[in-house]
Amino acid sequence: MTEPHKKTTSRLKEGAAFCCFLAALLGFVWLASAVLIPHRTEFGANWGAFQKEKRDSLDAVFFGSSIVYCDIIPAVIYERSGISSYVLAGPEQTLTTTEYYVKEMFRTQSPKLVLVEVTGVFYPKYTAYTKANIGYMPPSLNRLGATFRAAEPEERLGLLFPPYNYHDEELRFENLRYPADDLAGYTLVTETTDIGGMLQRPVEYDEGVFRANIGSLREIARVCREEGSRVLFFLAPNYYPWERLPLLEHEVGAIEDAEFINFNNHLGDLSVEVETDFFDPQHFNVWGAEKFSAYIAPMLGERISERKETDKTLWQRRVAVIENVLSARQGS
Amino acid sequence: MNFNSLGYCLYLPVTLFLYFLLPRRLKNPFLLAASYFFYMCWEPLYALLMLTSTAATYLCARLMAGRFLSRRRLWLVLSLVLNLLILFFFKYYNFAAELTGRLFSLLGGSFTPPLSGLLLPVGISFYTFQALGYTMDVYRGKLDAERNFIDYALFVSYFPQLVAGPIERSGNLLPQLKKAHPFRLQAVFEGSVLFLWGMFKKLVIADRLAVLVNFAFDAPPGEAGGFQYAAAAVAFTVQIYCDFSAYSDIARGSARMMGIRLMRNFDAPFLAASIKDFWRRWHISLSTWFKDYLYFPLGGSRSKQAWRRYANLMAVFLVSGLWHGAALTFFAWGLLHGLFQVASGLTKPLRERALAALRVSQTNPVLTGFRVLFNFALVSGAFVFFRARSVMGALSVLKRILLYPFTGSVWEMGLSGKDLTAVLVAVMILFIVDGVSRKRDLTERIAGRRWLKYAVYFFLLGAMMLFGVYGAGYDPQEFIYFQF
Repeated sequence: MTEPHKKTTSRLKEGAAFCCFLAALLGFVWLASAVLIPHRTEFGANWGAFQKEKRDSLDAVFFGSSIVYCDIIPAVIYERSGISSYVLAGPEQTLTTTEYYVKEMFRTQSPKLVLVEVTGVFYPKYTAYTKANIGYMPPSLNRLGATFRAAEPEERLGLLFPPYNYHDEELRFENLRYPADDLAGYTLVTETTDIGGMLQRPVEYDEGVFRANIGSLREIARVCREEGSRVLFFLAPNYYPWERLPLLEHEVGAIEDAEFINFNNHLGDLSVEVETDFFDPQHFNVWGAEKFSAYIAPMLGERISERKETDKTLWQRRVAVIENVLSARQGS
Repeated sequence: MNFNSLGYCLYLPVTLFLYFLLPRRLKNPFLLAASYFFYMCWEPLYALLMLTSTAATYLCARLMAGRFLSRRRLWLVLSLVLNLLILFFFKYYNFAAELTGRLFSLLGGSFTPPLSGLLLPVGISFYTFQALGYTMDVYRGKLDAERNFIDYALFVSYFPQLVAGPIERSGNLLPQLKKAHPFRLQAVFEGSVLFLWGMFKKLVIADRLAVLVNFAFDAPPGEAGGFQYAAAAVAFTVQIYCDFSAYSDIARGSARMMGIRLMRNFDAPFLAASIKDFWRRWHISLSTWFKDYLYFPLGGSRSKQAWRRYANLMAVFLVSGLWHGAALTFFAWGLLHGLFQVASGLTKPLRERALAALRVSQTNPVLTGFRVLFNFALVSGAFVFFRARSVMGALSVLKRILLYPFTGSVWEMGLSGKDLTAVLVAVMILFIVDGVSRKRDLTERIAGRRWLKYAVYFFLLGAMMLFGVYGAGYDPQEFIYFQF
């Protein structure tokens, strides 16, 4: 073998070794991230369980903040209408993050209806749960987009390199095999608070952030249009931003190809009790959520003509779990 | 900019990239600018101080070489006085003022000199000693005075070893800075091994042990048990070694990537079988500096009278203690090491006779093992003074260790079982690597083998990722020797 040939071979081998090293290191980072990050099955950002849903099996997916994962019970909707839905929300989730949630969801599901709770249009640019809301997203370009657009600069390193945040945690190998969620993204809340009456939510209005959030809603509507899904923006029936409601209704209502419903206008039909159906002024407990979910089930039915093929055993189990909880109260 | 910061992990590759990209005549001016930038990340104004020291030693050396006014000694003294005055003012003035105040108080007076509110410039002891060493080398004729100010200023401020050494000798570093250093992949690999090994020692061992050490030494007096203090003393000994040798390794690694070889600063010090042996292996650049520029000029071990030899030894160790910090605790630490050596010298004939009577060879492995352990205990005991907040505090710690040796548990010191296991395994690896690297240069061997090198990188990075102290919610400890 000639000298230049030897050199070339040696460089190729070095390059190959370096690539192997890099691949092994990336694999290790992925594995370390997976086993170090705390196991998460409730209070939103439940991507691990969401990914266990059968591909293209959901008719509707709900997005938004804790209001959504406390107020919507997919099992109740399924029982009432046969619609399979899922709650993919995060605590105090900003709409920029929600925008990436919707995009990421479309990688595995193709729901006919996407529902986004829009109280978040008045949220500040960053909230306290960025680490959880983005940190549990699967590795993807959408996660990268959320990291750079929706996360505080000081959180970015930990989101790009999860061991930075979690390396001192115990190893959790159950993270590698999340089971399907029996509550389909809903977080069961059974405590009751007598909130005394429907309260108005104070808003710290920031024009720039509001406009950016409306931009995210437009982007969600655009993505849904491209994917062939209908989009429904809604305000859940509790503690809503009364003061800025006209602005919200005007701006959200003007988004092309999107529907907007303020369920606060439906309170009379919902028959929720302020003494028994709330966990706190912002969130229903399971009994309030059951009433709200039962109320919207036929509305969803009107908007979704075709049902997807679902895992019936799984959905029956989900219905049974919720019925158990609800019957426990009736029993008591 | 700490070596264990994200800033440095960006700064180093950018600096290396530009360094190799630039034409040769621009390399050193660029490196000088990069070094000053590195230093100014702490306190920009103190760069002027370093520049003053650099300019003064450069000029004095030039005047010395030119025999200006035919007074070589005058320029040497001027350089020494100027540098030591700066060092004294910034590092020792407050200490001296407090001592003076106490002395007056003891004598019944009430005079307290005003204290200076100035911060201690990072690395002042290191670059001052490096500059002084150069001046003395020129005076002794060992070295020609450097003509090129840029090269000389770079020698004083070269960023890898600027803030915590190794204190380089002009004879080693200056000629290397003058050479062309084209990009060599092998050098980058070698440097990376050293760099990662240093980071491993800092993040996995030193900063983890800091939790244990801080628990005991920062606790209110008497709060920790004797066993906990003993564990903390041992932990601190390992911590300071890992912390300081980590800095040296990262410095050497950073320089090696540029093709520059800095001197080795540690040589498995905990395998030393005597205090004398320990000082041949611990902070080698400082101990050889003191040997060459203080111990030998004082007469060293050539004096015929034993008391004189011991006095020289004590002087060197007391100065060495004070070099580390302006506090009585450092003075006590130096004093103890001096006394250990004197005691060792005085008892040597007795020990030799005893061994002969017992028919135990000097090379007996059991005896060597015992000596290593005994030496480690002495070093750890002395380090109690180094770490304690006051001499009285150190004495109280030693008292608790001796009087209540079984009180307290290591499990209550803030480290989980996982942390303790990780750190113990890491320390075992450290000892094995230290032992092996005494006989052969592991860096070159590892970097020279394709798969082994990547396996080592993978292991070190993986261990740091899982067991290192870094990231959100952690308190990355500054390198201990930065304060000196």
